[in-house]
Formats: sequence, structure tokens, C-alpha cells
Amino acid sequence: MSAVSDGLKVRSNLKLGDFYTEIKKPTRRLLLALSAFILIAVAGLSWIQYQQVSQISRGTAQGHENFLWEFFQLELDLMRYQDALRDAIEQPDSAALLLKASNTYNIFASQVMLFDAGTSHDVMQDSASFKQAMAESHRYLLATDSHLEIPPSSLARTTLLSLMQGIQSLKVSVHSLVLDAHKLQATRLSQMLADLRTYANYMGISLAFLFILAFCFGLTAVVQLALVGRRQRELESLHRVVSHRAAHDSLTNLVNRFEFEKHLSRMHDVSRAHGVEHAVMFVDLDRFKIVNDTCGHAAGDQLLREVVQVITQCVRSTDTFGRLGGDEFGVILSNCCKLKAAEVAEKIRQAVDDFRFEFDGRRFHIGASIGWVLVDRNWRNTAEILQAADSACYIAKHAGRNRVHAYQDDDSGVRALKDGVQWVHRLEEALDNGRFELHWQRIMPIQLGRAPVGIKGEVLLRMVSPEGRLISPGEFVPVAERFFLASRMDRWVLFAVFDWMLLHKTELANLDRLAINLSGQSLGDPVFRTDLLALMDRMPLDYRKVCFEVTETAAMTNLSESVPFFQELRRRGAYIALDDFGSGMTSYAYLKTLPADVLKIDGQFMRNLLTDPVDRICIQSMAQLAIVTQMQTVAEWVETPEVEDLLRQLGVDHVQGYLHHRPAPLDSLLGILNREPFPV
Amino acid sequence: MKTSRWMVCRFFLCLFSMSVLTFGAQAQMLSKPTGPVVLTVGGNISQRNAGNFAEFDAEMLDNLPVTEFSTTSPWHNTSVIYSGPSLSAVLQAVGAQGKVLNLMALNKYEIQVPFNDAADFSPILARRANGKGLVIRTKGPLLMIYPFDSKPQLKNDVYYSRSIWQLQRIMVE
Repeated sequence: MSAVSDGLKVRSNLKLGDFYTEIKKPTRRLLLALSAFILIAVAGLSWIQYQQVSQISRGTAQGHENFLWEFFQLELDLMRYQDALRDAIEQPDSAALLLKASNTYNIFASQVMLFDAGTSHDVMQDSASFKQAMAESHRYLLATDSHLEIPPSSLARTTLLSLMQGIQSLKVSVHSLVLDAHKLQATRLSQMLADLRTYANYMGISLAFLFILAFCFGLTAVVQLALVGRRQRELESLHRVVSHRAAHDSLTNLVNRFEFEKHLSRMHDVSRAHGVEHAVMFVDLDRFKIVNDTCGHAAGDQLLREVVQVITQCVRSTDTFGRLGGDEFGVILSNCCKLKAAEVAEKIRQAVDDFRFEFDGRRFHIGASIGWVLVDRNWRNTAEILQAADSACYIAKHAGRNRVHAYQDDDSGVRALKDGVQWVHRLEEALDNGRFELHWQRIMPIQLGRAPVGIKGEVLLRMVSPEGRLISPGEFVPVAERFFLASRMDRWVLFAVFDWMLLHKTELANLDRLAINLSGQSLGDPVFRTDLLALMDRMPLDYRKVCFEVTETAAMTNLSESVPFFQELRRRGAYIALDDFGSGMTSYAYLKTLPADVLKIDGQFMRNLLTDPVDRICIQSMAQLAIVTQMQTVAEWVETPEVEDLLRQLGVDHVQGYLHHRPAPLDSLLGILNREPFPV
Repeated sequence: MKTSRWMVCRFFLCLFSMSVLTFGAQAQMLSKPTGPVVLTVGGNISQRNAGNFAEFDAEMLDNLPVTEFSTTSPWHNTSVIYSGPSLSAVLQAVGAQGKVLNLMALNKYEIQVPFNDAADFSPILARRANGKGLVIRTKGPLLMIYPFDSKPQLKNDVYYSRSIWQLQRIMVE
């Protein structure tokens, strides 16, 4: 069976945004906080590293770490001066050599002055070697300036020699300054290398830290995405289950009415578009209620499951088979002609007819009433198709059950059904507006010599048409029962009769018993039963003057509920009458269990009573049975004195019919009660 | 025919006049130094007065346009007024063209300076500081100095190291 359902389609192609919204709120916050923290950490570390790199590069650019050259330069200048002086000593008369000596001396002096100005590297200013070298230099300059600051035209060789001699000690102190500077620079370079190493370590730690953070973030994100994915799969699975449940009947796993109608609508669209023919059939199980009532709901459920199996064997896997409600099923035969549809319907009917349901050692024979209709492009909508199939099924059921009925446009059964629908509207309108009248018909005792007990009668209902015409129950009661309005009608009657009795409470002294009819539907309705008992408890009436008439079929159909209900009614004083006895599936055995007081013999026995010995025997046996079970008997439809005489002879207690009293408005009972103050 | 001959004559006359004018505008002829040589310029130059070099004595330098500015520097605690020919004036005087200037001091210290520094930052070859002539003892006779105070972007080690003192020779490359 095709389980067609759009609900089975699930969402796919999720976007990243969907995943994000699927992540739980606290986790989302954690991820956002982690992201923000990583960003801040990266920014902070980058800033620190930038500062460090800037510091290192600044230091390198300023030459703070490379100050040695200044002292080398000093020593070099001194050595150049020494060379020039040596040349001048060799040729003391050469003005050019003296000029060179003076120039190199002044260069050396300018270098010393540079240190004096404090432009040399700070770190050497306080060292002993620097101070020593500077002191030596100044001493030498002081002694030499007078000779060489201005280039001399000539200078004595001895002077030059003494200047040369002074250089020796100066050279030593300048050289030791260079060595110290060299040492200090080595230290500084080591320090710088150590700083670089620390920086590299710090960089490594920072990177490791960032890596751990990024890893945590990635891990959390991956875990969350995995969780979201799993949750999504669960949701999809749940969605599938929910969709399936929404479209299927849980008991039989068939598609439900909603889904069935959707599928029918699609098939109808196909028919209209391409002219393809399909068939729709409604299958209503016969006697399902008997199984349900006698063996319980579990048996009913089991029966439905087994019947589904039976019907499944008769249809194709491409057809749609659904449960439309209680014991009603629907089948859509796709691409199916009239002939084939009739064949399948008959096959289903036969299969269900052959099927025997066994439960708790009991065997039941179930039938199926099937109505089917051909789906073609002539139908305007699916509602019409469904209504036609329903009508056809109804006709099949009312034609005697266990049969197939094909819908036709000019179907007389369908026409009757349509009339019925019109009646329903009229009935509902009458119920809404209270357009009913209560009448009554007297029930006369016929056995002589019995003590008079008062007047008996049966309440009858008349519907008033909008034109004011009275309509007899024969016209509207069957419709009310067919369309489940009987219970509502019974309520109206009960309220009206009880109100009337309460209104005329004091005038009803001579009333022995007033019978009120209860429909099978009311009897089977637990709410109605409860409401009636509550109404009786509420209204202060003498219920010994009330008799409830129930058809034997209704009483037996709802046997399990009827018996305790009747007992409750009797406990409140009311009587129970079995109406139309002998017309249904009369079972004397039930009489033993049913707590009834009156047996109303069906009127059909009266028609040919005078001539038909069978009718006589039937009535006689019923009367005798009533005597044995201490029940009173009432014969209906008694219209002639001859029939009455014969009934008296057969032992019937009362008669009801046109012979004695034609139905009249209920208020006329008051007149009779007054006119006959003493019971006859 | 007359007209065309006159036009040819006029063309050559114009050509001659233009070449004379262009030559005059480029640079004046460099004279020979009479005193001790203070600065020697070599390399890619058009004006020479001593073989491949152009030599300047103090007088020749003083004859060049003098630029003066006051600035602080790492070598003095206070602001000093420097004056002397601008580097660009010296380079123009020798018709220098190139990209790099190789500067050398009396103590053989050498430094490379971009040619464009002359036009971009207007350094001078200071001959005087606070009106006193610079001698070797006071970083003379020529001290190349940038106007650090008027151009603060120059206050860094790059330009401090380019401020060469006891400048002796410029090689244009």
C-alpha cells in the first residue's frame, strides 16, 4: 500500500547559519567568548611582539650595541698621528710632513674632544680605562697643543722626539680602553643575544598558547557541529516518525482518512489532466459491532488487523488502502476500468465473506458492504467522489449487507439518500426551534375482572412542518436514526414530557403509566444514559408513572450496557417495556436476563390474526412467556373488536390502537383523567 | 632660391645661439685653487680643474652662495648657527650627476649619501659655526650638516651618521 506523504520529505542542505542556531545557547556563548579571547590574545601578543621587535631594531639602528668603532677610531687616529710624527722626525725640515703631523694630531684631538662632549657611548663614561685614557689624552694635548695645534713651519727634532715619547704611555691607555670597550661590547652582544633568545622563547610560548586556544576552539566547534549533526539526524528521524503517524492509522498502519483524501485528490487531478480512470471504494464491515460488544475492544482491534490482511491480498501494491474510521475502509484503485473495479470489489467482498474471525474460542462471520465509484474527469471535486462512494456503500449496506453497489448518476438509492439529507436539515431545524408536538395514545386493559389501576398511554411525537402540518414519526424517525439524531430527539421528548408531568403533577393521580420511547442510539450512548439518570434524580416526579419503551433489537444490541441501565431506571420506580417484540431477532433467552416489565407485541401479528394460526400461536406463546416471567403484555395496532376478543382469549393484558383511541395531543390526557376520576 | 638660402642661414644662426646660451647656463668655468686644497670632488662631474678632479680652496668655497641655519645636533648641547656653501651648490659648481655620493673624511672615514639628499634636505658644507671658522679640532674645515631642527624627520641615526666632519673628498657615482 503506498504510504504517500509529503510529510516524509525532510529538510536537507542545511546552511552554516542553521548549524549555528542549532548550537545550544551556553555553548554558543562559550564559542563567542573563546573567539573574542583568542582575538584579544592575538592582538595583545602581536602588540607586545611588535614592541619588542621595534626595541631591538631601534637599538640596532642607533648603534647602541655597536659602539666599539668609536674607540677603534680613536686608537687609529692616534696611530696615524704617531706615523706622521715619525715621518716628521725623519725629516724635521719638511713643512709638508709637519703639516701632516699637525693635521693628524688635530684629528686625534677632535676625537678626544668628541668624547669630552659626552657623545661617546654612556656605558664607557664611568669605566676606569676610559677615565684613564681621557686623562692621559688631556695631559698629552696640554703638552702638545703649543707645538702642533697650528701647523708649525719648523720644529726642533728634540721636541718632536719628546712628543713621540709622550705617545707611548698614551697608546697603552688608549689600547686598554679599546680592549675594555671590546669586552663590554662582547658582553652587550651576549646580552642582546640572550634577549633575542628570550624573545624567541616568548614567541614560541605565545604561538603554543595560541595554537592551544585555536585547537580548543576548533575542537569545541567540531564537537558542537557533530552534536548538531546528530541532533539534526534525530530530528529528521523524529520528523519521519511524526509524519508517518500523522498520515497513518496506528492500529492497522494504513493511511488515515486525511492522507487517503489527499491521495484521492492527486489521483483526481491526474484523471482530469490525462483522462485516466481510477476507482474508489468504501468498504464497511458488517457485524463488527457484535464482535466488539461481545468480546471487547481488543477483539475488535484484532479483527480489524486481520481483515486488513485479507483485503490487502485483494489489491495491488500500487493501490491506496486506508482506514477511514471505525470499521470503514477505503481503497483507491489506480488506472482501473469499470470492469476491473467491479471485479476487485467482488473479490474483496468474497474474501471477507469467506473469512472467519476466531477469538477466545468463538468464531464470527464478518461481511463487507462495498460501494464503489469510478473516478474520471467528470467529477468536479473529491468531496463529491467521496460522497458518492459513501452513498454507494450505504446503499449496499441497506440493501441487505454483504454486497457490492456501484454508484451511478441516476441511482434511485442515491436519490433516496439525498432526500434523507434534506430530511436531516428539516429535522435539525425542528430540533433547534422546538417544532415538535407531544401526542399520546391510550393503552386499554382487556382482561376482565382485574382491579382497575388507572389510565395507561404512550407518548407519541409529531413534527410540525414550517407550514404547520403535523408529520408522523414514520417519516422522520428512520432519518433521525440513520443520521444519528435520535438521541437528540429523545432528549427533547424527555425534557418535554417530564416538564409536562411536573406542570400537571396534581392532575396525574389517575394516571397509571405513561410510556416514553428510547432509541437504540440513546441506549448505546453512555452520556445520554448518565444524563437521563441525573435528570430523573433532579426532577421530583413519581417515576412509577413512567415507562421507558425500548425496542428489543436496541436492548439486545447494547445488552451489556442495557441491563445495568434498566436496573437503574427500575430502581427509580420506572418501568421498562420491550417494544416491537417479535419483529426483530427475537430471542426468548434474553428475556430471562433483561429486567423488563412489559412486552409490547409487534403490530404485524395483528394484521392477519383472525385468519393466520401462526400469528395466533406466536402471540399465545409470547403471552404465556410474559405470564411466566411476570411481565405484562400489550398488543399494538388493534383496530377491531374481533381482534381484541381473540387477544383476550390468548391471554394478552392490554391493547393499543385505533379501536379505542386515536393519537391526540398530550393535553387531552388531562381531560380524560378528569373525566374518569376513578379508574375503569 | 634666395628665400631658401636665407632660411638655411637663419637655421644655423639659431642653432649657434642656442648652444652658446645652453653652455653658459650649465656652469661657470671652475678656476684653479690658489690656497691649500680644502675639498676635492671627483667621479661623474663635468667641471674639473685638476686632472679628473675638481679642487676647492677656502676662497673658492667662500665664493659659492652661502647658506646659514641654526640647529641642534647630538654633538652639541645647544643650538649652533652653521654657515657655508650648500651641498647642492658645490655639486652644481662641478656639474655633478649621479645617484650616490661617496664622502671621505681626513681620517679616511667614508660614508655613502644618496645624491638626492642635496636637493631633498638641503645639507650644507659648513665652514663656520657661530661665526667662527671651523678647523680640524672643531670638525672642520668642512662639516656636512643637515638642518635637523627645521626638518625633524632627519633626527635619527641615519642622518646623524651622514653628517660627516673633516670632509675632504666627494666622489660622485
